[in-house]
Amino acid sequence: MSLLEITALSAGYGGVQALFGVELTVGEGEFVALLGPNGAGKSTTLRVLSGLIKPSAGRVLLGGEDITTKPGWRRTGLGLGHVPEGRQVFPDHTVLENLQLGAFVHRRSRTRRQELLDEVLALFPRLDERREQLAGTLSGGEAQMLAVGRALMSAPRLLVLDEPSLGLAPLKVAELFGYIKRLHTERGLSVLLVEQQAATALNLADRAYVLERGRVAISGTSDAVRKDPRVQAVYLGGEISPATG
Amino acid sequence: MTLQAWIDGVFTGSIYALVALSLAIVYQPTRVMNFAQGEALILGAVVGYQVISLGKLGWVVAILATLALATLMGVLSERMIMLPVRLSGSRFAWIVATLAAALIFQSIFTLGYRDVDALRPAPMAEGGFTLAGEQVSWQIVLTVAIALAVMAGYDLLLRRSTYGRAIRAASHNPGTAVLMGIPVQRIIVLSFVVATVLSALAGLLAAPVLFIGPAAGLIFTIKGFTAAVIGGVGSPRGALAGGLIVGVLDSVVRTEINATAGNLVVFGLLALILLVYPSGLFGKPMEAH
Repeated sequence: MSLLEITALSAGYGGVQALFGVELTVGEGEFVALLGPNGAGKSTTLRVLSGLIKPSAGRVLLGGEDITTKPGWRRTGLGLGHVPEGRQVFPDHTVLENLQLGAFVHRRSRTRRQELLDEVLALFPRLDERREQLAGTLSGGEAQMLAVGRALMSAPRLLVLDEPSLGLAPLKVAELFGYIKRLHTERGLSVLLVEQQAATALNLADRAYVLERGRVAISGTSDAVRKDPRVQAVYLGGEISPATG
Repeated sequence: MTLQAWIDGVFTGSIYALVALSLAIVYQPTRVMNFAQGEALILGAVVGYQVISLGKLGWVVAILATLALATLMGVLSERMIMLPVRLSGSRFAWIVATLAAALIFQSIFTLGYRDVDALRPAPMAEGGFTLAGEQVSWQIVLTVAIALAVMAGYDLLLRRSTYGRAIRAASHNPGTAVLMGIPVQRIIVLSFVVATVLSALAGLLAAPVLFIGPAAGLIFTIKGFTAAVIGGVGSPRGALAGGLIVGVLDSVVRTEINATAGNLVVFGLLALILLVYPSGLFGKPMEAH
């Protein structure tokens, strides 16, 4: 049984359908990339996953439990950790407060919260140095680390990252993906990574899905997807800088 | 003469401060300024009048009835205001929705107590003491003390507790707060309930001293709103400072000159403070979004 199972998922916005029967799974301890151009349905898939929009058809199972109709805030407690697009740290809260908000689902256990905090601060020493600083004053790379650290504070079973490389300098992107890779290999954390930078994502992931116009166009192991002629042509063609905007 | 005006001012000021705090409690997670907030104060006065003056059932029953009815009114207000705001999608829906709620509640109170000039039960604390030749009733002392305790308590909650942090997070970015597992919708309902209960208790405490008619809700909303804006919306300290400034200034000018001058000075000061401190005395500058 997979950790995350999305079956026959269709969804849209007020009459305009954006997803057509999407199938996607993430196994326990697996690193899966979700690729595709802008408007392919990556964000819509994540919105359904986080409970921001209701699908018109299909089901979402997390650890075998049907969460399709569960309100968004309940899903965090069930093991879904989010790193939202654009980081979305709380700028008027300190770094420490941001992390504590990430552990909101563990608010009843002080010892568990402290445990998680020690773990995350050990992982990101830079956040420890800046713990009393307001999150709004962090650099882009630090804010992204905070967003990842904040998601880890809920002790997620599945970490979902939405375009974490967006707006970061290449060096910072490499550093960030280094951390995520470590989380996956050293701690066996399951990861669903939504990325525009297909080459980077395929290097990290075990398997990948490519969405096109709301449908899964290509799926398979990262190696297979990388070798697919369509992917070669559209995404990896001589390493042209990935389409943005 | 002037000392009495100051005492009255501090008393009405702490009532305004409680309304200002209630407005801020709802405003933080919703960005809605609830123009029906003053009606909750009238509810407290109505319950006091009905239970203590007419029913002779005493203060304990009055407090319990206020808590129960204010909770109900809070839940109802959330539906009456937030449902149209969400469904319409207009940036200005809250103005119509909160004014409509205010007028509906006002009509109910006016229909029920149309021949009552002032909803004035006997005070909870009888008697008083003399301060430099002026009479100060225990009811005034009690009200000011409760208002101060509520402000301090809420300030502490907002700054120190997990829930306080969650409320501030929901206030800044509800979408991301939900991703943290924070039940933003529940926080909104709870905010309406807490705000309504606080204002209703303020009404119950103030009714024996102030002249509160069944249709006076909007006046208290406006005074509370002025206090909130002067102090800076969202800060309990601001609500307290703003409430006291409005209360004392109004009362002193009213006594020294006349009632119209009181309003003129209060709203003149509001304009002046907004020029110098656009986000109020204790407020933070609003973010651009």
